[in-house]
Amino acid sequence: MTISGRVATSAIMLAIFAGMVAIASGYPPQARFMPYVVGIPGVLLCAVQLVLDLRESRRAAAAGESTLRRELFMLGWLLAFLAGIVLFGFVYATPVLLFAFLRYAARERTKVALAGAAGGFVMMYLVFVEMLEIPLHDGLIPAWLG
Amino acid sequence: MHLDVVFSSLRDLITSPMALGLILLAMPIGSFFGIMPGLGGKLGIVLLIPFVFGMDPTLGAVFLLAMHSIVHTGGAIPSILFGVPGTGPDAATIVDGYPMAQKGEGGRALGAMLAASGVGGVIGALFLALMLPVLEPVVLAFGPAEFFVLAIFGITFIATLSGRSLIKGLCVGLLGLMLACVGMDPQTGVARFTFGQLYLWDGVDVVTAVLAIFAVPEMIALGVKGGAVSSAQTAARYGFRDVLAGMVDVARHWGLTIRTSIIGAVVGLIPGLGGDVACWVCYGHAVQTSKTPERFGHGAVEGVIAPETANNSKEGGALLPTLFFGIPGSSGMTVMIGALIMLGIQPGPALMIENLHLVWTLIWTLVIANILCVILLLACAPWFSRLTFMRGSLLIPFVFLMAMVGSYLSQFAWENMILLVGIGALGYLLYKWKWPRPPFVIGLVLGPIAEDSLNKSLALWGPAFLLRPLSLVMIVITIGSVAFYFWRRRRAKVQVAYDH
Repeated sequence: MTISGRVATSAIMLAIFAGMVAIASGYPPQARFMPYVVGIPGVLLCAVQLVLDLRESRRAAAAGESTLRRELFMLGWLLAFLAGIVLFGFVYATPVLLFAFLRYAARERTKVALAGAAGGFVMMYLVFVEMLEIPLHDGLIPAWLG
Repeated sequence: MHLDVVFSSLRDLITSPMALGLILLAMPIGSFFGIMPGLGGKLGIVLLIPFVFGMDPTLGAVFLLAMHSIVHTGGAIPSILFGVPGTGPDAATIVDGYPMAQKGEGGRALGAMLAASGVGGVIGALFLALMLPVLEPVVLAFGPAEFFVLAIFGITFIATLSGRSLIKGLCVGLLGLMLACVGMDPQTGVARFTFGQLYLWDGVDVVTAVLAIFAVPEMIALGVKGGAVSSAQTAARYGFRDVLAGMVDVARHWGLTIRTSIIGAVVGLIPGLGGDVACWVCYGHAVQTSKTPERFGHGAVEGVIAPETANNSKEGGALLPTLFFGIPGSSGMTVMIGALIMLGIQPGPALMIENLHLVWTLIWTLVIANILCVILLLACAPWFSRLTFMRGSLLIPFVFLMAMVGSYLSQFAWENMILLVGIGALGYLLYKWKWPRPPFVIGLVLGPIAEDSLNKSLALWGPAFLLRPLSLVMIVITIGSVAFYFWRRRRAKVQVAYDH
C-alpha cells in the first residue's frame, strides 16, 4: 500500500506540532505557555485533517505518482545547490552549479550553459563582492583549508 | 494631515537621483516579472532581496515597491495578446482582452489596459493617502490585548480566504506562530526549539522562511512541469494608433474607471482577499452596470478597464494593513513584509508615529511608478511580450541561487540555507496538496507580537483582556469571518447540487 502525498503531508504537519509540544513540555511553565497555546490546537486540527484525508484517500482512487521522480530530481538539485554553496562558497560553486544544471538537468546547449555559468560568476563576484562589497559565504572547505 | 511631511517626502523623492534611478530601474524588472507567466511580484521581490541588502532602507523599500506595484500592468500584456495570464489576478483581463486581440483590437485593448492600470495605480495611492488620517486614531487605540486578538484575527481571516480548507489554513497559520516561538523566550530567557544551535537563538529568520515557502516550491513545481513558461505560439503585433484609441476609451468610461479604482483599493485594504477578488469584483461591477451586458466576454473594452484599474489600485489599499498592522493586504505584500524587515523597517503602528516620512515616500513611489510604467510599456510592450517564450529551466537555477543568497545575507548565517531547503521542501508539499501558504508567513511575522501582547495582557488584565471593547469587536469579526466561510461553502455545495 502506498501512502498518498495528501495523507503524508497531514501526517508530517501533525508530527511537527506533536514533536514541538512534546519538546515544550520540558520547558518551565512560562516558557512553554505560548507553544502550548499554539501547539495543542495545532495538534488537534492536524489530527482532524489527517482523519479527513484518510477518509478521502479511501474513497478516491489512488492518484498517479507520475511526478514523484521528477520531484525527487528537482529536490536533489536543490540539495546539490545547498551542498555546493555551503561547502565551496558562492563564488566558486555558482558557475559550476549553474553549468551543471543548465547542461545536464535542463539539457541546454553547452554554449548556453557556459553563458549562464559566466553570468552567475559575474553576478556573484563582480556585483556582490566587488561592486556592492557584500561578504558572501566563503564555503566550509576553503575556510578549513585556510 | 501633516502637509509638511506630504510635500517634503515628494520633494526628497523627485530630487534624489538615486531614488528616481531605482524607480526607473524597477520598471523593466517589474514588467518582466509581470509578463513572464507564473513569476509575478512575489518572486520579483525574492530575487531582488539580495540586491537591496545593505541599501538605505527608504531607497530599498522604494525600489521594491516600485517594482511590485507595476507587475500587474506588465502581466496584462500576455493576458491580452496570448490569453495567458502573467499573474493570477490578470485572469479577469483575459475574458474580454483576449477576444479583443482575436478580433484584431489587441492594440486598443493594450491601450485601455495601460491607461486603466496607470489611473488605477494613482487612485489607489491617493486612497491610501486619504485613509491615513482616518487610520491614525484607530492604530493608536490598539493596546497589547487588541494586538493579540488582531494576530488571531489576521491568521483566521486569511485562513478562511486563501484556500478551500479552513482547517488547513489554520494549521499553516499556527505552524507560523509555532516557528515564531523558536529562539530565546522573552520572559524566561530559555532557549526554545534551538537544538543547541546558536544561530537559532534569534529565532527563525523571516526572510529565509518567506523565500522558502514561496520561491522554492514555485521553482520545484516549474521544474516538475517542464517546458517553456508560455505555451502560446505566436507574438501579436499592434500599431500605436490602436493603443491611443484604447487610452481614449478609458477617458470615455471615466465613471467606471474611478468606481473600479476605489472598489479595488477597498478590496486591497482587506487582508487576504487579494488581487483575484478585486479584479473579479470589478469585472462583475462593470457587467452589472453596463447597459449592454451581452457584449461582455466577446471583447468589451469595459471588461479590460474594470479589472485593470482594480489590479493596480488594490496595491495602495494593500499597503495600509501591511505597513500599520504587519498583516499583508495581498500575497505580494506577504513577501514585501519580509523584505521590509530585512531593510530594517518593522511594519506596525510605530511606523505611523515614528516614520511618517517613509510612509509618504512609499505613497509617492506608487504614484510615480504607475505613471512611468505606462510610458515605458507604451514603447516596449511588443519587445517584452517575446520574453514569455523563455524556458522555465533557464530560470530555475538562478532563482535557487538568489533564494540562497537572500537567505544567507539576511543574517550572514550559512545555516539559514539549510533552513531554506527544509522549509522549502515542506512548502512544496503544502503547495502540491493545496495547503494555503500565506497564513504561515503571517503567523511567523505576528508570532513575537502575539506572544508579547498575550503576556502583557494577561499580566495587566488577566483573561478579562478578551472582554475589552476593541478586543470584543475583533473577536466578533473573527467569528463572523468563520461563519461567512461556512455559509459560502454551503452555498457553493447547494449550487453544485442544483447544477447537477
